[in-house]
Amino acid sequence: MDHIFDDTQPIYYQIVQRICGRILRNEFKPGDKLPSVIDAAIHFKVNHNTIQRVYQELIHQGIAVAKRGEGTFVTEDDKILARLHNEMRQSLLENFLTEMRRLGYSPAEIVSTLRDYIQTEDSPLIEEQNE
Amino acid sequence: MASNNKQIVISTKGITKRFGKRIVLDGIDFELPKGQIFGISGPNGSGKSVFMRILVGLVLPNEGEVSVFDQQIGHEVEFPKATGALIDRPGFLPTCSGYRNLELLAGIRGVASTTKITETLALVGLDPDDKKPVGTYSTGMRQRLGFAQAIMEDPDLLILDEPTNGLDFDGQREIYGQLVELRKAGKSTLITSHNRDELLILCDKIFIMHNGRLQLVPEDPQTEWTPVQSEGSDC
Repeated sequence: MDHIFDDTQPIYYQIVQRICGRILRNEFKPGDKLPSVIDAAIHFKVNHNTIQRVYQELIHQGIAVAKRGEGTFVTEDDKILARLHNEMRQSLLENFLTEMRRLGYSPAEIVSTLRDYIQTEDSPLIEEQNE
Repeated sequence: MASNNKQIVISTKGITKRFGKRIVLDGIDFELPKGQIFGISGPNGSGKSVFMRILVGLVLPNEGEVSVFDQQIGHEVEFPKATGALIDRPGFLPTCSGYRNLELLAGIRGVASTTKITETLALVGLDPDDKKPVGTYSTGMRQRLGFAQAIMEDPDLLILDEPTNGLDFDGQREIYGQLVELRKAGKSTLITSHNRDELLILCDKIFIMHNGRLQLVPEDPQTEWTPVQSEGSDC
């Protein structure tokens, strides 16, 4: 499904987000080599120039590092990975809060609703804790 | 994104080809700028291969002009210079090895050295020391050898008709890598393909051959890329 994109944002940006997601979930570990430009182009079914742009952006943000003649690698810089983690967390929170506000919940209601959800038996978080 | 300064490698004006009463190519105007990969898609029999053969001088059009590197094909020169081509199934001497076949071709054209032949065979995934006659090659191996002969002399232009025909996934992938590397080095490529994904991955512009004319496939506005040079990226 990785070759499906929506039209809200440029494709290259959506690919950047997906790769960041993989890094945060440790599917790409610090120091891992990212797929070659061609392999990534084949995987996402996009032009190789789009992947070049993706990798340029990742390098520009410090999330990836170019090693001449070898390829593009995930950074091993803990500070950058921590920053990425925080940014992702902030983004998830913003999205969640925006949607909840749209539904009409006040901040206090959002907190109590979330707490209740986490504490209910059906919550997947409780299941994880019980494992 | 044509600019006045862009060097044009292939230029055709009004190319028309008829077979009997059937108009196969109907007044084609086409340009390939330097350093780009352009692709032509279209069903079998649409005229893609005829167009490619006209570009390399194997077939003469009924009307129109072709220029490659500013030389008119069929007038100033018979075949384009500095051009490697792979059109139709590659023709080789079936009793000779892959290496010997390239050596003979190199001898005729007098450009590629022993080292170059060996390197090129390795580059396309064939064993330079393999003595098996080409007649025993699989389709995929013949295709690899065909690609080898096209790139052997470091051409500035590649004209490739269905270059990944008969290749498995790894073989296709290697060809894509080669073509993108060649593009980085400023070489120009025109390919035809049935495979839409392949054209999407490789091409700066894609055309469809329809009713004897080339139609440009509009770029997806979301794609929004500009070609960049990335030092670390490999293919």
